[in-house]
Amino acid sequence: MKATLHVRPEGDDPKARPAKDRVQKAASALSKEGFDVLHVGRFGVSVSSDQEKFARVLGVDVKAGKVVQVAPQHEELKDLVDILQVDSEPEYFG
Amino acid sequence: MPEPDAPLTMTGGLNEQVKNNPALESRIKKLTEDDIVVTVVPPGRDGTRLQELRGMVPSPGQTHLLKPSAKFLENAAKRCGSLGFRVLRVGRYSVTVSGPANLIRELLGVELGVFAKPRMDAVPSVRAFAGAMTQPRPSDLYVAPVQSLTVPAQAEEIHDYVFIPPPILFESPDPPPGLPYHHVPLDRIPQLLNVPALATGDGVKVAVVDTGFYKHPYYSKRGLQYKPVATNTSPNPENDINGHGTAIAANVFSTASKGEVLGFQSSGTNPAALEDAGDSEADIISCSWGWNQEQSFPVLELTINDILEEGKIVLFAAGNGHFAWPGSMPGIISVGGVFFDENSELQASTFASGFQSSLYPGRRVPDISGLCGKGPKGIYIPLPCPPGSEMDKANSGPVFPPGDTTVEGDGWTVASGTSSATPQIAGVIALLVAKARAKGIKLDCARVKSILEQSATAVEKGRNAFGFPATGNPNVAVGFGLVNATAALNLV
Repeated sequence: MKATLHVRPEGDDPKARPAKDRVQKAASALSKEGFDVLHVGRFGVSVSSDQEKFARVLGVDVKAGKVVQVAPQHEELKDLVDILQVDSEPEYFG
Repeated sequence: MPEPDAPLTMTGGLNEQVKNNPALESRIKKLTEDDIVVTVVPPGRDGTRLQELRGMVPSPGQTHLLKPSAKFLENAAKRCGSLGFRVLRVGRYSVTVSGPANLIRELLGVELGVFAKPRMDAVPSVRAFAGAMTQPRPSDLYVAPVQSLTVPAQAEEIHDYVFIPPPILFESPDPPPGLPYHHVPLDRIPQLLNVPALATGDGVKVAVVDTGFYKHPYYSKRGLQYKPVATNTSPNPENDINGHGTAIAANVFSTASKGEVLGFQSSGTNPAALEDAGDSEADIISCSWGWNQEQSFPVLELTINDILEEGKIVLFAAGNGHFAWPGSMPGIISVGGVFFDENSELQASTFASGFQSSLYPGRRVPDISGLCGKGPKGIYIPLPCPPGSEMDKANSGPVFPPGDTTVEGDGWTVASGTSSATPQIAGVIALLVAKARAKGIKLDCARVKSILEQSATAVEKGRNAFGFPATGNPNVAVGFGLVNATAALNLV
């Protein structure tokens, strides 16, 4: 299962671009927890793992919806990531 | 000696493939009933056995000693006729005949089997290592002797019977000619979008984010700057199993003949491909995809807005009867479809979306339109695609409609949608960027959208995919209408 986690920016504006080192920190923490890091992006980190790991580490049921709030147990991740979007293929229009 | 009426033997695991596949079963039934075509080879002029020359055929100019005399060919044809074959053609080196399976079994003493010709797969690794795993199509099947394609004859006039399998078709670099229905070839699009002959978009880079970018000879034959870009997340962008990216990219060149397409293979909601496109040298990013019911994804939305803030021009398709997102995002250029009909009139395409967003208050989708076929399938623009890809198969079929009259596996499809309309407009924007660049002006997405809207040809006829009428200008069916390249360039 593939998903992308939004990395929370430091300031008050939730739409601001997080600092690169925060995104990198989130990627490292997720990697340490056993996720395969697929892409470290501008606003988030794309990872791959099984449903059980998503549930155990991030406190989410990835079957519940395409975009869900995460509740990590891990202290560092708690501060770094807030939303998870489950990867889904788009439709191609033509 | 096999029984004359024995059933055809299934070779190469075909038994399993045929099970529960009515199309293959029906083809095999027809093969069983049809006559089998055989190439009959007489002795060469000097008595040479021509089949033994495999790999040693002399160069042109040195073959006169080998070429069977007219008498040899005539004798072979006569002999075949007396054996019960139907003579189809007396050629230069052989005679083509046909006959029923039981006659061939009896005369040649061979067991006949059904074979499937190997099928090229869009994925090179599958091509190389697992060709046999690809499901054959009815047209791939043929009948030949199980042991060998060459069977020595027991007659003086004939040396060998040769069974030549049907050839593997390679994709043509040119579109299928003479389509028997109303359509718009790629080279007609410049006229319909009023592209000036001297405007080419020379050197302007357009990133296309899509399923992949197969190296089709359509692009290489014309010297088009079509460049799949390998990235960390998509290291093999030439592998386009779907075929959509390969096909729709041709629309960019229809309006910007000297533009450069950078092809980024997409990876769903993972923003990697979009970010790679945003980080590239492209000024324009064209996306012909999205999610229905305005299902949005926050990381992707933030990424798109960030790319817009960096000054890139981003286009998304409005959908084909979809309430498409990101096609409804306010900052991007949302592209709908206009149908140029049989009477040379413009009307809203019954295949293209147009709606009021429920996610962004006041947002009317689309902003502007390109050319698009009509419902139910949008069969309208001949496009190159990987042979055997999903696009290749989707519309192929001998009768229009529902088929596009192309052959499955030929590397061409006739299709359209807002997927094609979007890169057409990306190409027009490349013309604007080229002109602005020459004047030292930098265009951003908002400015380009305004230019396209002010200069478009109004379309106030017809209804879109939701049945919304194209009433007034702008309207919810087609936005400000069909893009007009000359008028837009005059505003730069």
